[in-house]
Amino acid sequence: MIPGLTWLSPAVAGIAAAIAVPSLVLLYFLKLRRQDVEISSTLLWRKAVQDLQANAPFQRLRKNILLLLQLLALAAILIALAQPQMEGERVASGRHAIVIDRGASMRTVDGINEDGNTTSRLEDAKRRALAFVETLREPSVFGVSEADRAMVVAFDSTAEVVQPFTTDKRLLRAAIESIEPSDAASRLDEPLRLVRAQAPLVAPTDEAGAEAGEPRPGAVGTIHIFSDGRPEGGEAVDLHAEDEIEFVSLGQQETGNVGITALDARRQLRQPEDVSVIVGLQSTEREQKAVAVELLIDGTSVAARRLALPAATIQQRSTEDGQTEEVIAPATSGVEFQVTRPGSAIIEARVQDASTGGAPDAFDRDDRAWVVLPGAKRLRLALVTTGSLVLSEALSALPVERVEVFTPDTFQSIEDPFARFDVVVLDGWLPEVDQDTESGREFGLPRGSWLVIDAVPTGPSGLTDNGDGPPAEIVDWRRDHPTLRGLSLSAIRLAASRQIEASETGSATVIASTGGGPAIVAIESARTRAVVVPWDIDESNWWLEPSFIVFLGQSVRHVTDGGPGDARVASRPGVSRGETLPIGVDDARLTPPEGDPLNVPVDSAGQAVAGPLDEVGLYTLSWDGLPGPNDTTRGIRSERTFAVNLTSADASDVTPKRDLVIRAARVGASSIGDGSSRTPRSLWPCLIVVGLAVIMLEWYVYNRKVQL
Amino acid sequence: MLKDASPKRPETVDDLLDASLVAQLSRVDITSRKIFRGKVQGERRSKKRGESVEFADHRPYVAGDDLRHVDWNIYGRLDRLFLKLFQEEEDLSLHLVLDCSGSADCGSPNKFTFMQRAAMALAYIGLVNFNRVSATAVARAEDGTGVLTSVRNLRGRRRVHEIGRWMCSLEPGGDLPFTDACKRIALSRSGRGVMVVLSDLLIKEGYQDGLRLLAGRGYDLVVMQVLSPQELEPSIGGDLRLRDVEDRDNAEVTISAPLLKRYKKIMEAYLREVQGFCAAREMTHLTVRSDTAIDVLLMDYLRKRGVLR
Repeated sequence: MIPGLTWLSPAVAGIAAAIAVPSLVLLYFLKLRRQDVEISSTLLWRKAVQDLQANAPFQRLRKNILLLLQLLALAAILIALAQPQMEGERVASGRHAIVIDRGASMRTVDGINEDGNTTSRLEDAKRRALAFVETLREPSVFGVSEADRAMVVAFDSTAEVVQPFTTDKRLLRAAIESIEPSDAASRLDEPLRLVRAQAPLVAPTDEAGAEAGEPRPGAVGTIHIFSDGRPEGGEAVDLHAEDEIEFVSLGQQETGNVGITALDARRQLRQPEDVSVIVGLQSTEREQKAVAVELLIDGTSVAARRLALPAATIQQRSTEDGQTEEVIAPATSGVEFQVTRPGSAIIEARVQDASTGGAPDAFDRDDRAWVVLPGAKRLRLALVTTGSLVLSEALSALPVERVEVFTPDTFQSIEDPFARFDVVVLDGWLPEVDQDTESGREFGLPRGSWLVIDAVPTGPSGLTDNGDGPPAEIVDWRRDHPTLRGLSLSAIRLAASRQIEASETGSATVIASTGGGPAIVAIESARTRAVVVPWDIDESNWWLEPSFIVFLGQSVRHVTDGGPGDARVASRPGVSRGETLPIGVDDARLTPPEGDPLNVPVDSAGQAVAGPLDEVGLYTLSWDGLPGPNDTTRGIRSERTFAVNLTSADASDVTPKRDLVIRAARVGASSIGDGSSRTPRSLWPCLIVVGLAVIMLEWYVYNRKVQL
Repeated sequence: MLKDASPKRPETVDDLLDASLVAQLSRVDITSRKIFRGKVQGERRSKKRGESVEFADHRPYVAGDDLRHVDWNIYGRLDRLFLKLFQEEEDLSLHLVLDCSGSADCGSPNKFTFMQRAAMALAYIGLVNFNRVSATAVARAEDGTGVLTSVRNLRGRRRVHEIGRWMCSLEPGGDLPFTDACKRIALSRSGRGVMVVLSDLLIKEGYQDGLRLLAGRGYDLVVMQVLSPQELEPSIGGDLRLRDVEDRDNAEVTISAPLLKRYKKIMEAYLREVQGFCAAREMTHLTVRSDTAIDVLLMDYLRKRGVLR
């Protein structure tokens, strides 16, 4: 036998051969096709035949080139019928899941393709996956042997089934070719769960082999993960005991990277036009690297700084299989720029190779980062109070443009307060509610941004005021809420609390609670944005705490959508982004760094959620309507720009890992698709061609009769 | 070699002999390497000394000799008696043996037609030169013997049409018991002469015994082996069932280049064998293709071999 040669349907060919070959030879001996010719005498012909064909029938067979050619053609066709193919290296037969990492680190260009050109890890992964697909067994024409089935999953922070299980290699190839890189960090749990969801249901059997119990998902087969080993999250994945993991490790261990791991811009508190820009850098290069950090504002270079990044620290670690592995501790550094910029600005930081001015490394997605800095505008506040000194003093301490104090009467005489003020602080008083005169329906607080102290706005907010309550203390608060971020409220004592209830269907969200009920509530609707502290500040010790001033500042920023001054927080790729749009906006459009704009729905609270955003760069959200305090306008449309940066120490470390941790076990790298495995080739088309060629030759010989 | 389904046969003497050929034939005569004794005095020198005016030799007189033949002039000079011997002239017997078997009726041009024409031409030559002309058609007769029909002892130009009609009446077919036919001819033949055997000699029982019988009777035997071009250089091919027209014997062959090469070698060997057989027995043998022109056959082939003069 020829090594690596397999037959998909030998039985069919054997049966056909058992019928066809004797038939052909029998027909030949029966000579059904002999032509009768009358001649003068057979005397000399007999002598000639006797001389030439002394030993019939073998001599006859030997001399008959037509029969030999016919047998040759028949043999070629019969062998083709057996569907031979040269077998490649096979990992396992049956079902295969091809899981391809398309995360940010897979964009690293550190591979060499067949032409000798550099190629990205993702391209390398696709090439190897395609080579692997070629090694799968195809279905035989007669369905005698079973074909291998495979599926294709692409993943970064999320996973997607690009092609469900199929035996069609064409579909598999197209699915692999269609995978595009993203900038998101990769996680392994999602794709493995997706693959598990494709597992066939298998009914458990008892000892006698009979079905026992409900069918359960069986083994998927072999899961081939094409990745650089950076993804995490494989520890907690629940796989079937018979599932096999094959990890195809991509990338070069020596590949280093210089990247921006942090970028922030802050205005000086007292001189907001002065901006401090901080750029954090990280290097996993094995040698010291000279880089240039360039700062651009609105696309114009304003500063540059040369910097020598030290080499990363490399340590040797022994793996479980006894081999040593390098562990790289990246070197970090940073640069600070001081610029003066009173207005809003898009600040970009770039890191370049100091000598060439080009990309400093094989991974370019972290060589640029952006931050959007609103203008140095300050808020205008109105305080409507019957005489709270605490509040007026506290608000005056905030970095705002001005605080004007009104009595309820004077405030009511102002026709459009939000034309003059950004936020209105109500202390122990509520304006008259808007009311539909025909239906009597209340609209709660009037349209606008409010900070309400010692009062309860009922109505659509879903709040119900049950009057004064006993002394209390705040026992729980939402630390992730923008108004309470970084605060501790545990020290606050209330001499007199307010008993209120918040309906689940209303627009109010409880963000802090006493033992008896809500203590601080945030209201967000399409018309109104407010933070409500229903009890009297003066009757508590909060105003003595530093957290009170911080709370006021954060609340004012929250109800005015962030407030001016600080840089807008950048997103990470692969994450969805929610933006609170100005009141009244119900439709928005998002323009990504590359590609066509897309519509983004806006919910009743004014939240526009887009994503996940897979690319790093600047995104622009635009809408018809008034801009927020930090937004810009372009024509009749208002715009808000935000950045998606890969600024993360982990994302900038693109050193490939040779092991994956899955189910608490380490999976070593394999060599699928690296060219060492042979590809099975179906030989039957060639054999059919050979058979036809021999038949044509036989026909030619037959027509030339005896000329050979 | 291949049998023609309906070959065109000559129907009259004119079909067998055209006028230009007749003019050529008038200038030639049959000759023989042997000089035979004829039945009547003819136009031919005999080995026998005789009555003609042509002097041959002298010999001493012995008692009993005819005194009329004594050369008195010599007696006057030498005083011894010598007899004058004169060359006697006698007629020549020409016997034509025509193969009428099925195998002769094959080929293109048809071998039998060619034999008819050649035989007719020879018969004409014989008749106009006052030779006795006989002809025998050999093939299996209804009674199982080898002689089909014959004409005997025709002499003189007036008998040309008679022998022509006989020629045209012949229908070839069947096999040929050649030895039996030759035996019958040899026994029935009175007198000696030139015998021309026209046949393809593709005889399965063998030609040797028959020819030996004919030669044993002292004939000056001329064996004219007529073969068609297809028999000498076959151009057939493929898987064939070859059927013998005489005995219906089948030979299944796959014609290939080596087989054809082999056939040609065997044919050459067969012709050499016949030639050698004839040469050993003082027979004249010549192989004639059926596409040879009759005048070329007569004026060239037969003259060179001394059959005609």
